[in-house]
Amino acid sequence: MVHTPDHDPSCPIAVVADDSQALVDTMTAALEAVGVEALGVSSADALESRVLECARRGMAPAIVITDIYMNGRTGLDASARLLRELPDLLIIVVSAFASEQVRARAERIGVRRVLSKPVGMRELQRAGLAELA
Amino acid sequence: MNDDTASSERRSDVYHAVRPRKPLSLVSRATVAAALVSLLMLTVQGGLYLQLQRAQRWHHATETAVAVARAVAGGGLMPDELALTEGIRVTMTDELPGEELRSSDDVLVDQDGDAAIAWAPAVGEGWVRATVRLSAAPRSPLLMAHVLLSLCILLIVLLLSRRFGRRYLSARIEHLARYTDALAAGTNGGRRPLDDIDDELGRFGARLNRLAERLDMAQKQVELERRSRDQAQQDLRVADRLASVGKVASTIAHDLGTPLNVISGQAELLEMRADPDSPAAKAARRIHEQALRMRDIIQNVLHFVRQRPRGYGTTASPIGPVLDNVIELLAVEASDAGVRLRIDECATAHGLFEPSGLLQALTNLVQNAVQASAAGGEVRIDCQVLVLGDDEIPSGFSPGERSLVISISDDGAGMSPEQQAEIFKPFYTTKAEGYGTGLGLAITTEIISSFDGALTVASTPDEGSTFRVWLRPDPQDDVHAATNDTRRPPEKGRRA
Repeated sequence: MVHTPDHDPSCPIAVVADDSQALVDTMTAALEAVGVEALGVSSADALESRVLECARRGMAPAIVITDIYMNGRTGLDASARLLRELPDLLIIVVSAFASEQVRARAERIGVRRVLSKPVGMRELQRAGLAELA
Repeated sequence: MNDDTASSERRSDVYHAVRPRKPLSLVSRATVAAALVSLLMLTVQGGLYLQLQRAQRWHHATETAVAVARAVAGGGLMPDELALTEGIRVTMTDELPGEELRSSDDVLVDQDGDAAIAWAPAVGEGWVRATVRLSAAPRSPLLMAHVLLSLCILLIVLLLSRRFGRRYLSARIEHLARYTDALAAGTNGGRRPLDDIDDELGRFGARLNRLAERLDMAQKQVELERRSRDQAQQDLRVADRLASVGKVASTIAHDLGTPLNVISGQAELLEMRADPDSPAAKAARRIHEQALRMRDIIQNVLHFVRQRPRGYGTTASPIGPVLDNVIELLAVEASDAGVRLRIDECATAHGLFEPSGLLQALTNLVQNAVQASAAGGEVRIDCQVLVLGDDEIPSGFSPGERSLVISISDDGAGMSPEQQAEIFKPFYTTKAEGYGTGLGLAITTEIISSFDGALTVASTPDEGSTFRVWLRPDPQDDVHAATNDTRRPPEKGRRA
């Protein structure tokens, strides 16, 4: 299991954001199955606040996996803000409609990968581990 | 108008309605006129001949009377010998008629009514009077022969003039009349007027030809514009429907995407946690596969309605596992419908395709075949590697090329040629309302086209249909065939 230095469960190494709690649970379970401690949130605002809070406490997560279209702001908006604050943060975007425009904007922001929904859990695990390697 | 008059007119109307007077044709009129003129000429000619014959007979009777009178007067012939000769009578007389008689040498001659009379001086005294009736003079057989021959010639001329008149005049005029009728109705249908004879009718026909050609060109232009307009309207309708379906499909894809991702993800996690050979792992794999298949179907609909082919990549793959999957997916539906599924000679076939795309395409085709079959029917799936001849070249292939052909045949209701021309178009379905979107075959065609393959259909009403999927064969098949005899289906017919 990959842990943050003081192993605070509220600031794990990976944060997963999706407005479907079932999918958040599935993705966090997939990451934990390969030893990556993960926490799930259900909105872009919750993602931002959680990551920035952990960063203020010196326990910034290493990787963020976020959906794009959620209630309220988008995952790309949150990613842009987080990458301005934490340029070393690894962000993987997951989307059902990963159009060329979305991919181009994600690249401009500094997102590391864009995965298409439905995302395979093995694919997610490989992507997460590859970014953390 | 009183009742009797009205009744009479009604009867007259009825009479004309039942037996309308048919006008004589030009040829008939000409023939009748020619016949009348010929008869008149024949009558005049006959009268002249009768006069001539009468003169000949008078001459003959006179000659006979002179000869008889002279013979009797000379004693060479006894009057009794002529007693029984009809029309000739010889008498002795002492007196001559008082009229002035014509003289023929020593014999006097005269005519009395219808008889020629000759007086010859007897040896003693008196005169021998020989009377020969005109009826005793023979009629000339040439006259009757001449009349009969003239009548025959007249009859033959009339018949020939009627026949050739009909052929060269009436028929051509009638043809031109029908042709102009057809032109007026716009249905000349390639009929050409007779313009091969250089006469008035031929030149008239040539002018009609030029008119018809201009009309044809105008009609073709109108037809072209009509088809173009119809096609544009149809495209517009399809575009409208695609746009509507696209919105619905996008909504469905979005709303189903997340639950499908949860199902497939949880199935993957279950599989990871279970013993790889356990039934639980197998079930989890199956759930994962089917969730991915649902994802593919949704994505295919999305790609299709957005008019962007998904663009499968192709790899050399075996058909067998794909068909096993198809059978497994449709076994329950086929069983419920009482339809048998039979696969022939597909276990070892290889082709260039993407398995999940081919799975969707074949599932569509086999499911259609099952639904088209009646209870007790059979759906047959057959694989062959064919060398394409000149008779059946699917789109995108060339003669001499090899193709892996997967045939799906049913013995259902079959389709008419008109239905076969429509079934690959979006939103066309032969299924009952509510049982088909009309997109299945259109999407199947897109998938197979993305493999650089083709989809064809052959169908006969009341006998069934055969859909053929034409795929590019595995280029390594020749190598496989050379090294492994069990890899190839047995040689049969045109198989390679």
